[in-house]
Amino acid sequence: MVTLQTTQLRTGGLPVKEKRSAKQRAGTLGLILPGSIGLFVGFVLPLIVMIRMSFNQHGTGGQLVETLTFENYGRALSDPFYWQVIGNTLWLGLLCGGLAVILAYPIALFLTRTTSKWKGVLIALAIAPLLTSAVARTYGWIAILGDQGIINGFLMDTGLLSGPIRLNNDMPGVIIALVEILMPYAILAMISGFGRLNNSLEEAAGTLGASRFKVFMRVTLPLTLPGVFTGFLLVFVLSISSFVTPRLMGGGRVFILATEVYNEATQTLNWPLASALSVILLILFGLLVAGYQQLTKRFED
Amino acid sequence: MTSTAEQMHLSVQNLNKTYPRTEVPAVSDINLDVQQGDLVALLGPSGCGKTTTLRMIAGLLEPSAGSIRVKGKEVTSTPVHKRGMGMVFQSYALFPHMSVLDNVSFGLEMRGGGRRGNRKAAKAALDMVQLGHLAERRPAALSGGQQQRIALARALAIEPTLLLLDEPLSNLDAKLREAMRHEIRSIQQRSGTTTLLVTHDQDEALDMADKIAIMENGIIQQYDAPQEIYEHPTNKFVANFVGKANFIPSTSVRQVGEGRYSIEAGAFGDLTVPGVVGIKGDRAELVLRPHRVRLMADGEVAADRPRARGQIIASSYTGNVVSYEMQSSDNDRVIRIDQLSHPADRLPVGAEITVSFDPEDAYLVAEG
Ligand SMILES: Nc1ncnc2c1ncn2[C@@H]1O[C@H](COP(=O)(O)OP(=O)(O)O)[C@@H](O)[C@H]1O
Ligand SMILES: [Mg+2]
Repeated sequence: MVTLQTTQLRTGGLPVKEKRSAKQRAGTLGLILPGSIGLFVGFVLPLIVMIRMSFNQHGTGGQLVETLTFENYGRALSDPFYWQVIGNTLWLGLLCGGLAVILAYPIALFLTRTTSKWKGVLIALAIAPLLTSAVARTYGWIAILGDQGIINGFLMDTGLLSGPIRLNNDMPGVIIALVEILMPYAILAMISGFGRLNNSLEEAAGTLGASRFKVFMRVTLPLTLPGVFTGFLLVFVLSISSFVTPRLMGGGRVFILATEVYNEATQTLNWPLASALSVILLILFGLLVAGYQQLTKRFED
Repeated sequence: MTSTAEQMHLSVQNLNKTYPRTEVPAVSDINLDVQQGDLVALLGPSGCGKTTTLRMIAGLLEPSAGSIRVKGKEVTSTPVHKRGMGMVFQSYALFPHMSVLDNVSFGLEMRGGGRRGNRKAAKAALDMVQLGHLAERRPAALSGGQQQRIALARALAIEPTLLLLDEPLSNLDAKLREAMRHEIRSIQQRSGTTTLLVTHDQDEALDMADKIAIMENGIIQQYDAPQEIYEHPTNKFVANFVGKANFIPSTSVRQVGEGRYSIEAGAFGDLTVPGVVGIKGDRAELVLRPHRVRLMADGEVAADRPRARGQIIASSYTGNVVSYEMQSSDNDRVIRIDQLSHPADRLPVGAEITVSFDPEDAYLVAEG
């Protein structure tokens, strides 16, 4: 690319087809190769193995039978329990994505707009929670939401409650914790997606007679929507593939694809079914990303 | 026509702005009366407070003190979206997610009215800037000059009580800038829209404005018609900022009439010249425009004209004008002379010359 551009400059803007030398090509290959090998060994190969595994059979004695069958998919898709799991997973993703975006939006907007000299520090602070592991932060939420946690403790100490209310060990706790844990990603994605927003656009709308509300609806929101989509997609994907938080906060009552894959793989030792569930999760991802790309394409006309 | 605030279209009184966390005011005691239909230029160097003033008038910035009245009505605390002023931003600020037509009809839509009527009015505004054929395009697909005109059409479509232009031409190339000057001026005059133009370009201000307010460090130094600003600057800053000027240190200054002084102007000797009313002290500076200095032919006598001899130490050629710098023979003054050029007449560096000028073309200002 670079060589082509300099050639264009030299010839006054006329692109000249230029044979790239063998040396240049070797250089490009050398740069791409390490990453490609890593990706192939670490991602593509396991993926192929996993897809292949999903067509194997789980023998009655628990042994693995090499074959080619859709049995696992049939089982996963005919069992209402797994439909429930898929539904739970999507619901968790939608809710976490939606809540994280709603909560992160004003923060991202503020961080984009502020002219404070502390802007850099504030952005670093907003994403600093990423420096602690999700495990530690999940335990933090257990300490807050648990039966003996801060909230129940306070409500019982003040006599407002006689016994603890169930805040964790169920979907609400998982959602609260996931939204908090994933919010920094939403903030980051939105800040980088708010590039088209510009103070003078909002001011121009104001001079043209738009009230603050109208300015927001007609200018700010449309211009920040791409960032909102990206933030939503990121949180959605991260929450439907999350394992630690649903596992620790769910108390065995939250059934989503990631936890079921884990159960099948480590407890039932049904690897073919676990693989089939993983493939289903992967297809969900794929559909979503494709939908997202359609949406952004529509947006850019 | 009297000039009481009631009859002025725009009347700004003692406007002040000190930004938070700053010590010096960005703008102090701005007073500005603008007549209906006039185009007034706020002219000054970068950072002198032009944009600050304009934004306060638009309602985008809250003044620290002072009042703004439009047609006699106080608007100082009216929110921006109720002021009905059209503004063209330096960056044009066209909405990137809307078509050109939607941009232009946005202001009409905010005012209510039927969709069809709005579109028709927006179309008419686009036709006014001769860009009706681009109505369905996105702003990003247009050139700078076209975006500029769309921004103008958008501001004019709402039939603003006041049109505010913040350095509207500064992002255009030189040729286009000059064409746009005339186009903006003619549209402004045709629509009769009272306009405030912010610029740091003196040619732009002189060319377009009915009146010019010269600003320096947040203060209006002079507010007058272009010709008055150029011919009768009230101080050295104005004379220096608008056009080129020689400043000839003058001594023995004595007032001999209203705005007339007798002075001793260095090599040029004793003169009687016009000047700013009320110069105190016996020292002042004589403003002499380079193109009003005349090269005298050999042996020419003009007994009634002040003259000085010297040597050309530099010359530059800009096509229509040759500029010389002359070191006068009896003091260290360098005088700049602009001559309409003819290649055959161009004098070499080192040539001995005599220059003169008409004292009535010079203007005395206080030492600054
Ligand atoms: N938002 C702001 N906060 C603090 N100071 C500002 C701000 N905007 C402008 N200033 C200062 O106010 C002065 C006038 O600025 P401005 O009105 O933009 O000048 P101009 O438009 O004439 O170039 C400058 O010294 C500038 O640094
Ligand atoms: Mg400015």
